[in-house]
Amino acid sequence: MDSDLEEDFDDYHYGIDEDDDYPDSRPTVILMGHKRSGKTSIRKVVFQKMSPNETMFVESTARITRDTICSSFINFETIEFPGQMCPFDDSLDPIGIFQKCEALLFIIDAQAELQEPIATLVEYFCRAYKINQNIKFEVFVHKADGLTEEARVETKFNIYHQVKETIKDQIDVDLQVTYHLTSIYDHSIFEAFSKVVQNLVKQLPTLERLLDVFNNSSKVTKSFLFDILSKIYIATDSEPVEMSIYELCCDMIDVTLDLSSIYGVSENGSNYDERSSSVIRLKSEQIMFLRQVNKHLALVFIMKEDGNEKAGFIDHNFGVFKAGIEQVFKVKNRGVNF
Amino acid sequence: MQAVMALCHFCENHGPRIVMTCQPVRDVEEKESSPNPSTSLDPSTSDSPPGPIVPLIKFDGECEFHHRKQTKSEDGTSYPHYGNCTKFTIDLDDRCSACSSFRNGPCLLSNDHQTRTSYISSEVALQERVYERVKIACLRSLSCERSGDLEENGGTNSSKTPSKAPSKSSSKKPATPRKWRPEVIHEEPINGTRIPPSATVLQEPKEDGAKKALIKEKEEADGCVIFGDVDNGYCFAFVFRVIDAKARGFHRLFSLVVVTNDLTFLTNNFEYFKTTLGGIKTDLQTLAQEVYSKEILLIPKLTDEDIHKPEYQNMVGKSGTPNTKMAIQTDRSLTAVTATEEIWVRLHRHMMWTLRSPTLAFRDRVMEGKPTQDMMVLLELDQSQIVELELHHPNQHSSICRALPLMIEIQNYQRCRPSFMRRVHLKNEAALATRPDNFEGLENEVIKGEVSMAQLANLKIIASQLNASNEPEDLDILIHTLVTGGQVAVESREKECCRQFLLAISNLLPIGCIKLATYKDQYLPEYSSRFNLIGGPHNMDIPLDVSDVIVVRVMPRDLSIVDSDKMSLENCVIEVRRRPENDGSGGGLPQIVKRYRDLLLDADVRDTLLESVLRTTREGWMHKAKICYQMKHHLPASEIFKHITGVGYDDRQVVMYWTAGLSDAYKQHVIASLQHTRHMSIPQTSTTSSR
Repeated sequence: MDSDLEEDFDDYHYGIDEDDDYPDSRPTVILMGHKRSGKTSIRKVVFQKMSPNETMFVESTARITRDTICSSFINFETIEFPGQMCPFDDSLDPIGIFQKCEALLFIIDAQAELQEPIATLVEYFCRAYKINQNIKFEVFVHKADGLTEEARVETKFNIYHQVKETIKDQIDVDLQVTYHLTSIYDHSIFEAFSKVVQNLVKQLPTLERLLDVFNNSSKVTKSFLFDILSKIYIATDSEPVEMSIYELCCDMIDVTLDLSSIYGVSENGSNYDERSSSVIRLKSEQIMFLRQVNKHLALVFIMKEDGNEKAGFIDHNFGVFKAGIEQVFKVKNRGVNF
Repeated sequence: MQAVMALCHFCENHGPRIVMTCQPVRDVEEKESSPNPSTSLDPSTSDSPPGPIVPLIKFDGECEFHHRKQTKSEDGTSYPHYGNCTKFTIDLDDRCSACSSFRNGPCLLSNDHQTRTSYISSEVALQERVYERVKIACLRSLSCERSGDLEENGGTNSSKTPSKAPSKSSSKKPATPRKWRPEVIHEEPINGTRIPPSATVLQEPKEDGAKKALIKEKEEADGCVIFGDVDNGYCFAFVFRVIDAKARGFHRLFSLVVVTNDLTFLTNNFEYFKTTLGGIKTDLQTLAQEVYSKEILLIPKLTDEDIHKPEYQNMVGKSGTPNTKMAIQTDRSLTAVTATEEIWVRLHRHMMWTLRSPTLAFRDRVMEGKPTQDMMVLLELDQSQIVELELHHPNQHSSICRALPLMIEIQNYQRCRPSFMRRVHLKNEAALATRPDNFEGLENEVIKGEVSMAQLANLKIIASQLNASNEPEDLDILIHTLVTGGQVAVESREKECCRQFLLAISNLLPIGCIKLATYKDQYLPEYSSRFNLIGGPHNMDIPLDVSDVIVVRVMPRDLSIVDSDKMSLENCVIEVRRRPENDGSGGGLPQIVKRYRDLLLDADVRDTLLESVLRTTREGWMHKAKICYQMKHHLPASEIFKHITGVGYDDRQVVMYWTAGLSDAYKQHVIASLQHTRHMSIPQTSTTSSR
């Protein structure tokens, strides 16, 4: 496994590197969609911690907005195009932008009329594909909180079929497009963005394997490797993700950070570090653990409370897991970050 | 100035749109004949096929119709303008009220006659090439370029800010990349208040929460920036937001752009544009703020049902303050946002002056000042008198018509009469145009500019010859006779000599006092009162009962010289043939006589200096005459001069005579004022008597 890790070392994109003088090498995630579909709201809720209710007062985005997301573990750049503008306008240097693009997010307002956005989506995906065939295409069927469960499924299904057929008609290629039902009023937007980010992490299979090994060794039901500041999980085990468990883990991070910020602020002002940890016992006879891997990453896992959970046993396995993570993400100043 | 100015708006419905463009259009006949093709933004340089003519708002231009060479231009328009106003642009962009101004309706026009430029404000530029450049500038200013924060950076360029737009000009890599990240999550330390970070996601919208966020963004957005390249021209953009209760986020994004080919022009005038465009911005924002303050009160507040709350909100115990609902109306025009119907006219004026002022900075201009009595009399003179006196020249008697002020005409908005100087100038021009064919004055246009100086030179010659004669008092007698209303008769076999002599000494009198007959073959009795300056043949029979007359004879030494150089009296012998009975020798001389004598005999005072001194002397004594005229309606003749400072006993005759030289307009004004005063005092008198 070590040899595989060495091979991945050269094209590593993630993690903090204070000496990085070439931020343009960061992967780029482009957000597009019709006006008022919720692009800016998503960006602000996920990355700027804006209250969902406050997004009602967000101005119409006029600028092509670039955000560099780099002070947490994840390290990429988002570009948001105003819905009123065509990103492929010659004056905007579309080739330069889309050649660097790794993921293309198209946000559709699920509560609005769909035909026109779908037509735009197809057009943009096809044009972007012609520029860069390595782009990961994602569709956020947004504002899903306003629909019933049946309507959500139906809407997603309709969009999926129309997009698939139209794209095939236009460029005769079966584009791999991923669809997410999202809302800023619940954790679905974080979950969807986690999937997007995971697509950008080249070490994802290794991380999944590490988590699987850890789960099996420690009798853990489900585990997530979180970027705690954005609550985006960059990896999970191979078991399917249940939304309720993901929300529980997000809540646990919030609780831990809240308590830590009140009672655990250190001399340097930081309210958490690589030694932070917490344990919460649920009335459903489950135990949740949070163990800080490094400054930005935390392992959150849940296991049944059957009397076999032994702190030393879990600590040992976590130590091995942590060592594995360090092997995966070799960085120059590992002393600081790992 | 080779630049156009535009107002751009990021429309909620249609994205970046040009709302209004103000462009200067000039007469470019000279340029068109030039072999070098112009690369300027001047619309007339376009080679696009001709399109429909822009309908312009008609304006009066009453003072300019007769002055302009072309009242019907080549492009078929009947309103006065410079350059080519043909519209070559076809704007196919979708628009709503928010991103429209004039649409295809009438646009606005201002004429700057001084620089022969018309400023036309339309929705989009008239010329395709200009339109394309402004369109790119609009897109980049609103959606790409990051302007410098006015408060923090002092309005400097965006080199310090993260100019990360996908443009070639802004791809420069700053030296400290860590400092120019626009959005970095969680970098702010959580200190002091100890608000848990997760709370921000769950908390209710604060009353001012949205506003604070908006203010932050506003600071990031408002400001100015220069960008561009050789291909698309250069642009100075001032980006700002206008508050609107019915816009998303309560703000609408606008930009004012100045587009030109000349980067140096923009950088040289950076502070100027920052100030002027900032003024326009403030004007718009102030208007919008007033409207917003009224409208926001009418919008209902958010209720608890409108706010999404976490499932366990009640357990947490947080209670949010309801905020204002958003009543979004995306297609509100700037007219509605500012509640100002004439907002486009206002903007047109702003833009026109912004473009015009740098042009004027390169041009000296003489301010007009208060009209003198000579000017006013000149307006009242017959055209024949103007021709006779050769008053068409700018230097004659006063500096008339040195400057032609700007005329701006917009119907229903501003009407201005032609300036006083301009009217004087026009009258002179008209008089010259109607000059009779047999007029014996100077026909040579080239030497016309030296007429006045030649007259003053003759005046010096006359003074020196009379002073050098056997009777040196003759000069004083001549001046005394002239300024006190006596008659000066000139005898000569050459009409031109008479004429030059009389014109020369006419410079010593105000225009209103001059009654000139340059040459009469016969002296009729009525001439003694009809003319004070009269010319005639040798041995003119002047009746002896005409006492107050001085007869001067002018004899050319060589007749051939007279033909070759008609203007100069240098080769003439001047002698006084008859002196008036009252030559002033009995008492002291008036001050003005001494003044004139000293000036004329001083060899260092000549030409323009002499002209200026004579003019100011005349004007000074005309002021005294004005006071005298006003006083004589109030006081007995003996009392008048006690109240006029600087007028001695010997000067009284001069001042009394010069009151006749006041303009009719002034006299009527004085009389009307007197009547008004008397009218006002009648009721008081009647009241008193009734008591």
